[in-house]
Amino acid sequence: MTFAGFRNIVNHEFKLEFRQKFSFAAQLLYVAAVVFIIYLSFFEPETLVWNSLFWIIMVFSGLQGGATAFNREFGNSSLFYYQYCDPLLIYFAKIFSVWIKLLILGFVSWFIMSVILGDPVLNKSLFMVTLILGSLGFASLFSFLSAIAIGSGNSGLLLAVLSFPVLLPILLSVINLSVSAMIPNPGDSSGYLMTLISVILIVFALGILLFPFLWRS
Amino acid sequence: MKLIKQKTYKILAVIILLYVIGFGMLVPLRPGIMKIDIFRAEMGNTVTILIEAYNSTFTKSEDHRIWMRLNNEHFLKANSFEVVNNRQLKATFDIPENPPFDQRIIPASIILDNSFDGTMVLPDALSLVGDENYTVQAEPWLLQPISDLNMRWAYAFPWRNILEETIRNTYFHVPLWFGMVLIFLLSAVYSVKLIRTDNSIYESRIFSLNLIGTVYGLLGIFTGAVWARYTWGAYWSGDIKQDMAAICLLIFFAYFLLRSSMPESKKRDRITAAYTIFAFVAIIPLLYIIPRMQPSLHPGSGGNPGFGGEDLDNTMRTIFYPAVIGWTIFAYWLSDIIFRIKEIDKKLKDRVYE
Repeated sequence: MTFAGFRNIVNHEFKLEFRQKFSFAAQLLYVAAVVFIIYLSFFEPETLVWNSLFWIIMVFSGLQGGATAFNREFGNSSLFYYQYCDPLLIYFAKIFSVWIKLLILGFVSWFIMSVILGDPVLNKSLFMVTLILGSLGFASLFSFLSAIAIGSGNSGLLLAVLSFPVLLPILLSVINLSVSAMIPNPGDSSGYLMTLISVILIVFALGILLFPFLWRS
Repeated sequence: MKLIKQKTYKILAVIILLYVIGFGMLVPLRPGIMKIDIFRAEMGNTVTILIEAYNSTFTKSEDHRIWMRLNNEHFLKANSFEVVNNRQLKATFDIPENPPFDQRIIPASIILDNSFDGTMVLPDALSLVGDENYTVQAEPWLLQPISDLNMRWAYAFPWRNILEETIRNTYFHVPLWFGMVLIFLLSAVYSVKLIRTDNSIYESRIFSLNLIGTVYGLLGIFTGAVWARYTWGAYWSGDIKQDMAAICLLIFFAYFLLRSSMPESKKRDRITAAYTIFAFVAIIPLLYIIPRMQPSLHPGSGGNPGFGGEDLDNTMRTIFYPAVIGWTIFAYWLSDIIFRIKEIDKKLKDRVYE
């Protein structure tokens, strides 16, 4: 497992992504459309509504990104990958690329929402940290569970069902963290930060332990 | 001999559960004060309080002593009392004019002691309200401190004011959750074995253990909801512990969905085993870490003490620990039956295809 190999796979991943531009563009368009629908129905949502809508958009973008994460690898080219690379390398490269895509989507939707609906975020740096960590959590969870769900026929639906219960602690801490980035005098939010980081670490550790076995089958 | 060996743990489970259900339901509660008829009393007056108790036998003894307790130092003993019947007793207090420390409204507990029932306490029973221009005067409150309480030992469960008779649910609700976590632990162990050896016999084990674990979880949620109805006021109050328990069940419902979504194969066995490990690791923070960080009514979260203390005394321990063991063995027994049904099913299918 080397850094060069990691970089190669990530490069490859983004190259493939750019070759079919439409999927990422579709996600961006999806975000813009949803924000516009929110604008038409709420005009100026309150802070809490803004926050929950933002994270709902993020979850569904993540689900779409995650559902297709392993489509290529578990398909016909899996034998090639299997001979060529370490499964953990593929796993981390996958998480990394999903994370980067989610981050781009997150910042873009933050930008669109603040242009159209107004920007309630007071503590920008805390919100940014939340966004970065939250996207990492979504990316690691969805990548791991899509490796599980890919075995069945209807993997998109199954991924949603499998991931929602585990998503909840991540979502809970992320929403509370970003609320404290939006209200003037937030209390101590380090507990939520610790929860978020520990859930991410647990998902990572489980992925490292279990992904090679999933990959072999 | 082999038959006895196979049946030992089942007989053990039956005996333990009969003991738990029998004793847990039949052993009486200790006597305790349910309520009194007033909520506040003016200082400087003589008040008569009607004390209503539960499981008490006031007519059997004559030596009742009743105190108001303000804090560890300041007490007031009742002047006289009158036994109405076994459950009711009237006590008359001459409340001094001035409070013992600088506080106009003071919460007071009622303590009742006699030689037949032992000691009963009702915490924060009433508030004593002083005059507007009071002075601090501690002496009258120090005259008759509590002494020589009749600490009697009896084989009875403790009286807790809000819990009352529902304290017996400790032998069902709590051990069911314990049993569920142990069963899921066992199923995670089998999942690790399956992933390492690829032996599909473990798949039936995992399935049966997960099924019984989920059933236990459902029973735990139901007993918890009923308990919450009588102590917190509603079946479902959105308490963080309840929500997290529901999420845990959802995680394991998803297991059955995942399992049924794929055709029977080595691949399915591996994937479901991996998911079982994932699910077991996921429920630990959900049940035992996140509820501790948020306000909750449930013991063991939001800063509440988890275990022991006054809620689980030595009498209850003699039933509680066997209950945990009994319910867990019983769950294993149930899962073993389902495991064997699954295996027979497989063999029958093979025979049909032959």
